[in-house]
Amino acid sequence: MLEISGLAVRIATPQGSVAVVEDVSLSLAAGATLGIVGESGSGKSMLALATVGLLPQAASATGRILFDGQDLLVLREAALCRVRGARIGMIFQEPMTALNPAMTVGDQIAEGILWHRGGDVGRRAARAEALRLMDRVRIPDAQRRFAAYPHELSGGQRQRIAIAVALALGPALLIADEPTTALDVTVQAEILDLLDDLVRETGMALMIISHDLGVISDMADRTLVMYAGMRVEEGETADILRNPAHPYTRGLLSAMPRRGGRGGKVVGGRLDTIPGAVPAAGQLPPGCRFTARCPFATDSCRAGEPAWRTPFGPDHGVRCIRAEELTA
Amino acid sequence: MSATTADTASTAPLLDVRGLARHYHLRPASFFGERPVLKAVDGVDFAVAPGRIFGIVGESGCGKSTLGRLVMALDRPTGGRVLFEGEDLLALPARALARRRRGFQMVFQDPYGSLDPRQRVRTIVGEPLHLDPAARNRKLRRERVGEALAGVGLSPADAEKYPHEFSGGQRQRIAIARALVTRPKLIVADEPVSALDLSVQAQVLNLLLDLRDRHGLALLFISHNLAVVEHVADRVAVMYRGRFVETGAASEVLHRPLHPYTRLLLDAEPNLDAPRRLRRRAAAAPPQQQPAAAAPESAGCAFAPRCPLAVERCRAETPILRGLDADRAAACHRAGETA
Repeated sequence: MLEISGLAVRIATPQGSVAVVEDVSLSLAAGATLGIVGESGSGKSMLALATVGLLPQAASATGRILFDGQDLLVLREAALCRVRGARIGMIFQEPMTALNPAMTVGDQIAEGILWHRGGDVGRRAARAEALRLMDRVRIPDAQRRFAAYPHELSGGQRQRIAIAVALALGPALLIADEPTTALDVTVQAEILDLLDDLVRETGMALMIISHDLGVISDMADRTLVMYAGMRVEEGETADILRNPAHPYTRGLLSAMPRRGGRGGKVVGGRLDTIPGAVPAAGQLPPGCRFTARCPFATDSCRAGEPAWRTPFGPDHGVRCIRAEELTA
Repeated sequence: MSATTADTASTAPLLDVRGLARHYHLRPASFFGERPVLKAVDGVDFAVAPGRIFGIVGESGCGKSTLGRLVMALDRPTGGRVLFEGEDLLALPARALARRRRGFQMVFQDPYGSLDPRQRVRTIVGEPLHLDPAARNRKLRRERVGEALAGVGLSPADAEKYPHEFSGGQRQRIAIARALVTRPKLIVADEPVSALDLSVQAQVLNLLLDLRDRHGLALLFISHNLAVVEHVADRVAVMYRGRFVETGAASEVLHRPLHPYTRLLLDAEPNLDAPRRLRRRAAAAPPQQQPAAAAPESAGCAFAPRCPLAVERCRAETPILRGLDADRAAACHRAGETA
C-alpha cells in the first residue's frame, strides 16, 4: 500500500542545500504497523512530513512515495489534498498545537468530513458522524464534550480528538509522530491501546514514529532505525530488539535503563553510553555517519558510505560493513 | 502525621522533611462561594541521608515539582518543615537562608530554558558563587568554575562559550556544573534527563552517579520515568495527588509494588521484554480513567475511583502511609492483603 524508495529530503540553507533524509526505502502493508525510531536530528519527522506532502517550504523531496500505486511526489497540490486527509491521516506530538483553539472539538472532527465529502453529506450528518467518532476514540460523555474547546480538555483527551480528526474519513494509513511523548505514562498506555485496537478493527496501516524504543516495541510489527538522516537497520521488531546488528541499535539498547536490570549492560551501576551526540546535517563525518561514535569503527568504515545490505536474510536489513562479525 | 521514612537509622539525615504541605486556594465558583482548596502537596514526610539518592516518581500534576521547590525553599509551604542539616530552612531570615543555599542546589528539566542565552558559560556556572564567602575574589571564582566544568566532563575552554554552542546533553552538564560550583551536599534534580535523547541520557545519569560516589553528594531525583528512577535511586516514593502512596527501597518498590497505583504505573510503562500489545490480550477491562492531578477532594482514598481493588472503606476513609515491611510503607487499606 505504501512503498517508499530512495527518498531524500534536502533543505535549502544560506550555505547551500543540506540533506536531512537520504536513501530511505520502506514498505508498509494494510493492517501492518511500522515503527520508526531515532533520536532528535535523525530525520524521522521529516520522513513523516514528506510522506504526507507537508514538508516546510525550504525542503524538497526526491525519490518515490507510492501510495496505492500513485506517486505522491509528482501529484499536484489539489490531487495531493484529496489523498491527504481522506486516505492518509496524521497525528502529532502536541495535540494542542494541531487543533484549532477557537473551534469546538466536535466541529473540528466534522470539518474534515464536510470538506472531503462536501456534496454528499449535510452538516447534521457530519456532526452525527463526528459524535460517533468521539465515542470510537473513547471520549467519555461525548455528547457533552462535542461543544468543548481544546483548552477545556486534558492532554490525553486532546490526543483522542486529534485521532478522531485523523480517522474521520477512514484513512488507509495513519501516521503518528511521537503521539504520546507529551503524555503521562498511564495516559500513554491508553492512547497506544486505542491505536492498537483501531489498527486491528479497521485494517488501516500505522506508521508510528518515536524516540522511545519501549513505545516502538509495544506497537510495531516492524521497526526502522534512523540515524542522522539514514536508515541504519530495519526488520521485525522482536528481531531488531533481540539481535540488533547495527552498532547504533546495539548502543541504544544498552544505553536504555531497563527495569529489573535486564538488557542494558550495567557495569558497576553504570549504563553503557554512546559517546558524543548526533552530528548536525551538513557536518557529517566521511564514510559511515556513525563512525565518530562507534566503538567498532575502522578505516574502511571511514572510507565510504556503507551500502544497505541484507546479510541475515531478506527480512532484516542493515547499513554496516561489519554487521556479520559483530553479531557472530 | 504518618510514618517517617528514614533513610538509614544510623546516619543522621541531611534532609529531613516533616509533614510538608502546600495548599492553594482556588477562585470560588461564585462570589459568595467557598474557596476550594487544591492540595498540591499534602503532608509528606521523608529523609535523605548524605550520599544517597532519593527518587520521587509520579505523573504530571501529582505535586512532585512543587515538592522539589518547597525543599529548595523556593516556595513557602502552608504546613510542615524542611530541615537541612538539622536546621529549619523556613524559620531562617532571608539573608541566612541565602547563605545556606550553597549547601543545596537545583537542576531543572529543560537545559534550553534554564541557561541564559546571553551569558557566557563562565558567568552562568559562576553565578551561585556569590553565595560563597570563600570565593570572593576573581581568581578563586575562576578556579572553582574550571573545577566544576571539569567535574562534569567539560573543558576549561568551554567557559568562554555561549549556551547555543552546546548540544542538549552538554547544556545539561553546564546546568549540573552550575549546581556543583558551590560544592553542595544535596542536589534537587527535577526531571534532569527527560528532555535528553536516549544516548545522551545515559551519559548524564552516569555523571550523576559518579558525582554521588566522588563527592558523597545526595540527590532528590524527581522523575516520571520508573526505569530511570529504578536505575539511580536507593529509595523511592511514589506520589499521587499530593501524597506519598508508597515508599521503600527502589529495587523493592518497583519490583514488588504494594500500592495499586504503583502497580498501574508499572503496568503502563512500556517494557521491551513484554510488549504491551501482547500483555493486554490477557488483561481485564481497563480501569476507569481519571487524571493523577490534584483536585479539590473529599474523604476517602484519592486513588479509589481508579482502583480495581477499592472497597467501601476506601471511599470513606483516607488511608495513611503505614509501615508494612521492615522498610516499606504504603497508603492503602488493602496493601497487606494484596502483597
